[in-house]
Amino acid sequence: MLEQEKNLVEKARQGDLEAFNSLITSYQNTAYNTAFRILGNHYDASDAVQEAFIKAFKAIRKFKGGSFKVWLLRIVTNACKDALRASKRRPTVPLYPSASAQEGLELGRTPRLADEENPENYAERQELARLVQEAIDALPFDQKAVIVLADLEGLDYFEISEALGIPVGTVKSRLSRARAKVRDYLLTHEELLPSRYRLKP
Amino acid sequence: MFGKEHEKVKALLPLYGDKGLSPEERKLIEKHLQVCQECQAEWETLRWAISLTKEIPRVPAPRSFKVRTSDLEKAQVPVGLYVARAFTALAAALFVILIGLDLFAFKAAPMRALATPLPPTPAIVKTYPELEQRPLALPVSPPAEGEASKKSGVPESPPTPTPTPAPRVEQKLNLRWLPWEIVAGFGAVAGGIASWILRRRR
Repeated sequence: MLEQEKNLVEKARQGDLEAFNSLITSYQNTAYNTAFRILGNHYDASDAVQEAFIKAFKAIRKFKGGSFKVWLLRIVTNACKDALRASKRRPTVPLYPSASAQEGLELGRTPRLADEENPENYAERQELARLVQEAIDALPFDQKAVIVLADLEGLDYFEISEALGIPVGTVKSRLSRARAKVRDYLLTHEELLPSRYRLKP
Repeated sequence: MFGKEHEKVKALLPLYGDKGLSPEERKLIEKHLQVCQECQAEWETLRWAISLTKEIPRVPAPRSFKVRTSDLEKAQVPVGLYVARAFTALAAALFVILIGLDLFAFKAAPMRALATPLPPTPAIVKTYPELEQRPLALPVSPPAEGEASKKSGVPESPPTPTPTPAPRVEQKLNLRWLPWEIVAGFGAVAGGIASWILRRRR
């Protein structure tokens, strides 16, 4: 952990909210991406991240060193688990389903990088993201969390094990199953992928 | 063809590109891939899918998630919720205990009947008449039989006492605690509803 981060953690432990907010600024993109990929929509992801950060501030005294990012991701994944449970318990039907879903997706879109990417490439990448997201959505929570942390956030097995509170062996078996299922989904929907992303273009 | 090795490699293949595999596992996969076409094809599709998954764009946070002081106040659990939950638990426990007591009393009734002393036998009463408490329920001999003995002139022998059947115990569920059971039951339901409302209002 960096010296500056250590100082901020120490101040936050003493109840300094400003220090805590400075601390999370560099991790909020990671936290939001993790929640967005696990929950599959912008609204639930935003709520889960906000909830997780509030819980993190309250629980920061329990942080006993190590990686702050991994500790924070543990709280974020737990908040996502709670959100999924709550949505199963109280399924909500949006007033205007199509509009709401579309809006949720729009908010979750990547901004176009005008200099590096042409509109066609941008549209193709969005199509790829949509299909991969569908494949992830079809997984059970345990596998979702592992594949998001490993393949989208780039955490290693030990970090995932710490973030999810499970043994490394379990991380490996869940990741293996999750990747095989995502592969199966992409293979069966291969014709929906832009040609440059297909297995045999 | 390869049996167990093939199955083991198949389970490890999705992790082949990771750094986390042990040298032994990596060696096993490499050796197996050289000879197994099925696993080679499997690895091709897995590598393709993993690379696509890693390629999807990152989504930037749509807003700041900084924690405000008002968030901390809002997130606090109201004291009323704790009180309502404690009340519900207490009332439910009381309800269960009272129902349990009534049921126990109901089940224990035959055991109490067994514990009461049996009435003295005729032989004992003959020896100790003061022990007689109530007329013995001796079987009444049929009149035809008595008539027949008189007619035949055979002296009537004293009737042999037959064992008295055990008194039947009438069991009736007596809800001694019924009023309190009703109060506790309603209390638990009311507490549950109050907890639910307070939780929804948070």
